[in-house]
Formats: sequence, C-alpha cells, structure tokens
Amino acid sequence: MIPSDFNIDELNLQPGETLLSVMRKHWFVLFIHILPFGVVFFLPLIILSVLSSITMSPTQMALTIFFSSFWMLISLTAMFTIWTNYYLDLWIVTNKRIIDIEQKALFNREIKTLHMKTVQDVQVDVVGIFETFLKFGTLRVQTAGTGGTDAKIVGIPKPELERDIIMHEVNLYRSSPPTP
Amino acid sequence: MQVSTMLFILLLFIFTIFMIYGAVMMYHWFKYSMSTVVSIYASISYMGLGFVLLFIMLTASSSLL
Repeated sequence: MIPSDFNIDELNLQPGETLLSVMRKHWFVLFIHILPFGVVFFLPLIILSVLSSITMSPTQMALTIFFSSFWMLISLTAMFTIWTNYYLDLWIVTNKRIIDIEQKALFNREIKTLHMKTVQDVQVDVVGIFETFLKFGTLRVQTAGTGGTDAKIVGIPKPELERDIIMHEVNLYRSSPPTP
Repeated sequence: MQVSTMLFILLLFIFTIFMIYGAVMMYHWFKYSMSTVVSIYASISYMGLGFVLLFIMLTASSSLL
C-alpha cells in the first residue's frame, strides 16, 4: 500500500506513529484527464500528413511546422500540469491521523489532517462501470464536531480496503484511547 | 517586417514562457514530490521534449531566412 518511490523521511511522523498506507488516485483518473490533451497533441501530426499531399510554398510549410510545434508544446505543458496535479495528490494514513494532500493547481495546495480519534464514519462510493470493474471509487471520511473538516478523495484504488484500514485504527482508538 | 523576424520574436517569447513555466513545475516536483528520482525523470522528460519542439520551431523560422 506504500509506493516504492515514496520517501518516508519526507513525512514528519510523530513519535510512535507508523505509516499504514499511501495512496494516489487510480491511473484511470489520470488517463481520463490526460486523454483529450493526448489526442490534441498528435492532431498536428495528422494534419501535417494530410497537408503533405498538398503543394505548399516554403513560407507556408515553415509556418505550418512552426505553429504545429507550438500547438504540441502547449499540449505537452497541459499534460505535464495534469500529471503534476495527479502525482502530488496524496492520501496518507498512519495509525494516528489521515493526511489528505490535494494539489488543486500549481500554487494551490490544500493539506487536511484528520485525527483518528475524531473520525466518525467512513463512506465508500463506487459509481459506474469503470469504477466497478477497475476497482476504484470515492472515499469520504466524516469527523465529529460542527467545526470538523471532512476529507474526500475521488478515484482512490480499492477504497474498501482503505476504509477497512481506517476503521480498524478508529476501533483501536475507541477501545483503548491513548494516554496524552 | 519579414515573416522570419516575426517568427523569431514569437519564438523568443514562447521560449521565455516555457522556461518560466518549466521552472515553476520543477519547483513543485522537487519541493512536494516524495521521490527525487521521479522529479528528475519528469524534469528531463518535460524540458527534453520541450527543447526538441523549440528546436523544430527554430529550424522552421531559420528556413525562411
């Protein structure tokens, strides 16, 4: 449940805190977001192959190649931006807390920390054909108190397993609350 | 103004934006990623592909001289 490229030292764990799970969104979520830009990226190549049969002046040809490359550069940038937002989104579960890191955009990063002792309910939503067959879904964690923050991660792989991990830790807390 | 000159000015502008945006993305990768290796791979891929495209644009502009 912990990615091989994950550096635990980067996460400042508290004394007695152990890492249980580190999750990113399912690859299909990235695929769906990146697909339109992938199609757009290769569009100039298709257009250039069609235009190659048409006789063009050197100026027209140079302009076509120039703006096709520019188009591809914009698409490439968009794809890397989407990948960045996907890659930096993390859902970390330890035996003491849940850390929901959401990279909404460049320079827009939200980090929520929910303590296990405040967790009231964990809800799993698996909606649609792709989510059912590819085994991913939405996980919602509700906390106690009116001012409590709830966390939600969309497109998490095996959400039932993640719910079980959280509920197991919550039950441990409820049965034997740690002394401060 | 010649077409090639206009393309060179446009290319300079695109290059500047690309470098600034690339620096911003690399800042995010190296600051927030939990893996330095992935950050290095991402930087090489993005900047490498970007420079290839910029080189093609430069070649296209130069062909009009």
